[in-house]
Amino acid sequence: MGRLIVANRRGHQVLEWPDTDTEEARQQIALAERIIQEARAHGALVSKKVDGQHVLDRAPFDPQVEEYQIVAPIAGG
Amino acid sequence: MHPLPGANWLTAALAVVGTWWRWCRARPGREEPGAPTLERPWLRTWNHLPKRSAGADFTRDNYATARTRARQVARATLGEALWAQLQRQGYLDVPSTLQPGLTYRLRVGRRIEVCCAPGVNSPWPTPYLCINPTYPLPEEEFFAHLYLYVRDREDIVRRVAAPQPWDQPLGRTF
Repeated sequence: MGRLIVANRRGHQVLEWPDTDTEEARQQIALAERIIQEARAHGALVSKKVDGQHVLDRAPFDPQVEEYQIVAPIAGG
Repeated sequence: MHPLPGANWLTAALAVVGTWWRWCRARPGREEPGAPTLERPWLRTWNHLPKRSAGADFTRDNYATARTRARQVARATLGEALWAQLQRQGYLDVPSTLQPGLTYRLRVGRRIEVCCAPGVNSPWPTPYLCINPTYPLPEEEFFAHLYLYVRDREDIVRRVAAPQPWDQPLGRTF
């Protein structure tokens, strides 16, 4: 099971996709990829879980990654 | 009784504006068909909000729930060891990878404190850096984000940071 954590004012919301090769899984994976692309286009960064810890990541979306997170854009002041 | 001239026009215009306003308030973002009800805050503008507010539609329960959920995800983002260290000492120190001897001290909901070893000059004229998320976030959630930025993308931190002479709570977190 893969998951995308979207941090927002709700705390966070989660989009999950199963490991199985089903239509539902493909739809969820496509949606997760679109959300990541959209967030990046608006200045957000993305982290992925590596060895139990999140690291900022610039690589294309990989559905085999255990967990992604949208990291908010930042501004000074 | 006949309506005044222009009243029908005014009624129709108000109805259109009312419909548009309800439509704007109801949609969380430009949702695609079949998309889950997911709030994508990068699609909205938040500059109109007062400091430390998540919006006029947010209730006290919403704040409490958001902070609880934020704590869970911040802990998972940092990992157990860093989370325990943060709880124990109240801050996390992140050494600069660009300037040896410079350390960023991060505290939840506060400005970053820049600490320099003896003989090391800070690139900023004042000891605190103000950095906010561009949309409202619970402060523990943003703390985890800021930690990732400082550790992994110090270049961005240096580019956007606003140096400040004193410490105070961040304005875009709650």
